[in-house]
Amino acid sequence: MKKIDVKICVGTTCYVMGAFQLQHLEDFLDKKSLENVNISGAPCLGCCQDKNYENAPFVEIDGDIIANATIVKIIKEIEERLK
Amino acid sequence: MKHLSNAHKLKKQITVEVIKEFLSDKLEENLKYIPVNLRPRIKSSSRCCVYKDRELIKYRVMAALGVATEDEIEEATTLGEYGKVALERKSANKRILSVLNIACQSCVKARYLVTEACKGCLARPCTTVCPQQTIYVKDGQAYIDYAKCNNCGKCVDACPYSAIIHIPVPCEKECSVGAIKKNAYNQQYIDFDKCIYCGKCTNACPFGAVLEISQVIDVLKAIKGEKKVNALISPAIEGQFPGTLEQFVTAIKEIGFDEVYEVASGGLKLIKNESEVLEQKLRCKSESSQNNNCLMTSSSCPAYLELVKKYIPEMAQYVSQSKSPLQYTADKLSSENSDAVNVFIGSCMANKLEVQNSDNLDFCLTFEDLGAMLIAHKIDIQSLSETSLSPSKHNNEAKTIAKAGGLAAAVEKAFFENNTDKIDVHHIDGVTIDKIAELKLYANKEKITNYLEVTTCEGGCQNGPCSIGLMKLKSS
Ligand code: FES
Repeated sequence: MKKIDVKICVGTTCYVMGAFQLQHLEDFLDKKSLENVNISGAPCLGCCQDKNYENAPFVEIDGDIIANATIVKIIKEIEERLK
Repeated sequence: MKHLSNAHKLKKQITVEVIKEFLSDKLEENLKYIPVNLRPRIKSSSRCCVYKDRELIKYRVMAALGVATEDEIEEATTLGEYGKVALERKSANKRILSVLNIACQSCVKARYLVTEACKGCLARPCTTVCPQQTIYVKDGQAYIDYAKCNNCGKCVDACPYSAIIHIPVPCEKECSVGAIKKNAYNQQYIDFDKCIYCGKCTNACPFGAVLEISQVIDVLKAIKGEKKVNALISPAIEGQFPGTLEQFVTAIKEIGFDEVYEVASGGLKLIKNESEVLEQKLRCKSESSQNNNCLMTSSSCPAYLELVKKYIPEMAQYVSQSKSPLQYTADKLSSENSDAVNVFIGSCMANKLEVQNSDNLDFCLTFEDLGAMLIAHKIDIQSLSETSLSPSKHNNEAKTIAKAGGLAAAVEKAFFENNTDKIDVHHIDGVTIDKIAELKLYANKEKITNYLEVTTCEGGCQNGPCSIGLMKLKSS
């Protein structure tokens, strides 16, 4: 099975607005999720332009963008895909 | 560790909005839209209603403008008028912290509470362990008589069901010197005669009621002005922003700073100085045949200097005479060009005090302020070219002083380059009530070391209250 690709944006806007905390994602994942995801940092995903900076940090999961990303939101998305 | 909290995010957002309005040259006219834009009627509120949210945002905007709640002219004074005050003032506000009393939730006084997990058991160890005999049982449930309770907490450990809990006041719990307390209306206030400006309360309050008074407008004005503006970057910069240090320098220049200098260069001077002075001290001690229990303690953490002054006066005689790395760097720059505006950028709140008290420094920005500037300017560091820093690389060694224990280790290493004698170095990582007691032991020679480094923030400057957080993920 192909692994789920989790890209945490660590571009300037996302990092300043809170991507820092998302870096600890691994510590919150269960074994099954851990084995099936590929977590990486990404340069600016291009979602933070203009007024949209308010919705940073952004995370991309298999091509889908999550705005106002939190660890809980990311875990939910991963579990959804593993069903 | 800092958490991703909505209070933090709001603070940054407000700073970004204020900077954007400054850059659009319509600060006075447009400030009034910020509370409404951030809390439009259709959006849900964080408090009772959007109107209260907006009122609170007004005071947060004032803080971003560098106007404290305590500076309020009249309740009816508009943000536009405060914008004018900010634009017209000649020097930055001297206030560093401010309590937004209407945001303060007036947390109940720290206390112990018997929860419903209490079974009203036969043994009732809580009633027997309490020295004040404050616990009584009614209808099969224990209660605390608060008129008599002196908050000793013995009941917590005694209960076999863990039914008794401690409810702290978050800001008071973080303050190691008891400077933040309740007024007659049960709201918190800061006693500045006691405060050491560590800034921990700003992150501790879950309602974001402790505000930091920003100097962003003052710096933006300086950048717009005629004079040359220098950015003096704290050694704590390592890992706080994406991209390389050279790209970061380009970013700072894009904001409008003329030159960028690393405070780490002053760090090298500090390390050398400390080891030499230590050497001299040890030498004269051994000549006078006392054993090697001379003590020197670091002077580069401004909150620690306040702590010594206000709480451990017996330590004052041992504080190193060396200047801080920031001061060394600023002195050198001023000797080269006394007309330039020197802006320190770091993770610390107490540095604002240091900047205020220095002839050669003008303003102090935090990494959070800088982050907001980058967002407002739409600068993505990683997409920029690199600008090399003048003395540069040899500063890498000095950068370790941003980590707790880094200075002590560097001083020890420098000492051994010229000496074979034994010295003992030690570092205190993070000031807490217990650590203050330990520091007193050192000051009274009940504990012995030769060089004692103290960083008020746990982990050192890189974990300062205004840091962004250390980057772990590298982007591909
Ligand atoms: S910085 Fe994350 S989308 Fe631009």
